[in-house]
Amino acid sequence: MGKSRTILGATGAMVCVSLVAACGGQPGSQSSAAPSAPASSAAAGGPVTIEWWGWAPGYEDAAKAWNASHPGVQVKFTQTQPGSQGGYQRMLAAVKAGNAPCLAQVGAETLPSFLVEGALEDITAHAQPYNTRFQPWTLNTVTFGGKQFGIPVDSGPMGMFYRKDIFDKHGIEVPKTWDEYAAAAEKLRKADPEVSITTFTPDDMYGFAGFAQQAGARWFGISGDAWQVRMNDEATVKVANYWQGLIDKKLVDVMPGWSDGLWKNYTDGKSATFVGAVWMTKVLEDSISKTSGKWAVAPMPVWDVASPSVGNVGGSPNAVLKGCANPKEAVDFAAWLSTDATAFNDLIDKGGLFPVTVDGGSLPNMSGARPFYGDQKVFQVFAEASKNVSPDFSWGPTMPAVNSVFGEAFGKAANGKGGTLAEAMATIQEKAVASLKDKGLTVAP
Amino acid sequence: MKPTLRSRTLTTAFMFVVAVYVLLPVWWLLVSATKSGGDLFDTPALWFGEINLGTNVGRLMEQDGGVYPRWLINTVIYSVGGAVGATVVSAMAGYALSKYPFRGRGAVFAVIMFAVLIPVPLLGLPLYLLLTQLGLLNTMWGVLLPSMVSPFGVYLARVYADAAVPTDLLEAGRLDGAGELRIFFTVAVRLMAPALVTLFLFQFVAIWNNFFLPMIVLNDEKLWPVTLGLVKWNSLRTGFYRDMVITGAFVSVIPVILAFIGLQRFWKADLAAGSVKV
Repeated sequence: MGKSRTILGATGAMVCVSLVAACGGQPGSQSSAAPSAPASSAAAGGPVTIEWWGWAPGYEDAAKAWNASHPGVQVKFTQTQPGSQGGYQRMLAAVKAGNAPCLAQVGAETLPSFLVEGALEDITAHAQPYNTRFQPWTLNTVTFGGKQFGIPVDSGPMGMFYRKDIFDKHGIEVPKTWDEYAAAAEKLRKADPEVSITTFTPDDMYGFAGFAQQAGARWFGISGDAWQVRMNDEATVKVANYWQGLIDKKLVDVMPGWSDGLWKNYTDGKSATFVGAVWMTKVLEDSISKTSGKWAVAPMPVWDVASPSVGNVGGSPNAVLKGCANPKEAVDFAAWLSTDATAFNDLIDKGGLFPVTVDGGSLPNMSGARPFYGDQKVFQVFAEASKNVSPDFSWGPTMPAVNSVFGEAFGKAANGKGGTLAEAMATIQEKAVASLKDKGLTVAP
Repeated sequence: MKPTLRSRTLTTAFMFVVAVYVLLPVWWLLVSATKSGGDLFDTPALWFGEINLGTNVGRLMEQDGGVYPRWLINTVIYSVGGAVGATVVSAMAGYALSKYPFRGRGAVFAVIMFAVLIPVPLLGLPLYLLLTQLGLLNTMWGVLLPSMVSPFGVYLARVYADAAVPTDLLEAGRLDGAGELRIFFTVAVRLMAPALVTLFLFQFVAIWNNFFLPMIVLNDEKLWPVTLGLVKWNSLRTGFYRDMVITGAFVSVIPVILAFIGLQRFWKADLAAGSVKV
């Protein structure tokens, strides 16, 4: 355990390569149970088969559409459990067993974990020709130490969902900056003590990361062959102190994320805004349907009007798993999925996915008017936002562990049970560094 | 001797509190399963709004091409098949360990006891590799076979056979010319019945609720048990599926409740019988 690994998990990778070679190199061996070995069929001149695992709705149909127009490369999609619910565990087991799919849906926050497990193929060369089609910041989420390990599919640029009727009723202007947001919070409480500006969800690390990213935080990075961890950098502390201020003045409610209490607050009109990712659009429509027609969407409040950067929450790239015999074909398909106008237009509708391409905003399904938001063309607001996502944020290799520490420390602070949010970030930083060291990874001071 | 009124009242009060504590989530599930999506956060959590149970169940059965009934049937196959298998294997192994002296008996039993201590998730990767080699990945057998193994069941069967099956009785059977198998099935199994019912129920519930094993083994959604399906739906995180998850969870506990009510007669009577014998 104490043995230190190189940054890209080379030790693990070597083991995997040799394991895969051992399994795949002997035709007719015990590995016959493994789903189809594409290499042999390619050599025989038949169509190449690409196995693809994922769970996003709409992927199955996308694979069918590709197969119809690409007889030479056939994609076989298999639905798995969502990653954090066991899907990732299964993918890693399959890599170790030597029967992993060529392509897999791996969340941006999980890619680094796969990387240090040696479960990913470097696809820099194959991906290069397609990269001009993608928003540059989305490529940063799949690039580590200068090598690319995934093809971005979707993103979650943030915006501000707000109750238009409440703002109108009290004659309060919709805030454009965080200063205005805090001022609006005070006016709102004065006008109606029952109503807060928002319900803060302290256990939602990924949401808070979006806030921190907007302010310019860089929680993880790579320097030489060591990981950098900066979960309490200046930008993060600024954001933590901002929310601490709102909590101290009792201008926001505090509830666990995704809880009944949270939705009840919004159903009852007790909170007037929800600052979150684009995929909340549908979640709000479904979860608080009683308030339909009263909402609207505005750009996320910014720190600096001159450089209006925004945060991003989520995004699930497709990665080529270790041992894939046809990485080029896998990348070709993945790039098609993310960039083909017809294919992705369908995914917007069926999967609720938000494009990562430079011209994604012009897809037909991006301009639908949504009754829940008073027939506003909501996605257009986010399409604008996605051009301004703060570009340098990436994740580390131990996010599940960090996430649970975060939930506990932040929850305590936000509920006034000890310390401030900024102090909590210091604790989280410490534990995050420890979690990397536990994995035998080198952490730069 | 009758317990005093005071102690009876106290006991009843205590049991009442425990019952409320245990039943409250089930009550919430029942109430929530009758609500439409909008009502869920709009009406009191523990009391009925508009009753939509029929609509919810109807939608549940048709959602995603009627995949839920399929999951339910799969769960029944895994639970009944696995529990029957585990009961038979455990009964035979426990009986053998109890009644047949052979070299290494203690060691075998020690190994089985040790297996009780190993947390199941630790076995995930080895199991995956093993099933890959056997070609059982993504098949029903991949879930059924591991479900039939229950170290705790072997332990229970052995301890119970020690106490409830008199060796003299087996001798009598042998003198009458019955073969070992016949003695086992006609004499021992009947005497061990209470333990076997317990074992069956434990294993049935454990498999019914199991998530980890099928998650590791199964790719194909059509082979999934209810647990995997509900977790998938829940992770889609839209209001529509939340209704389905709640109703689906409610429907999926009904068979377990029925199994307990149906088997509890044997269980209760026999546990008491066992305690007297011991």
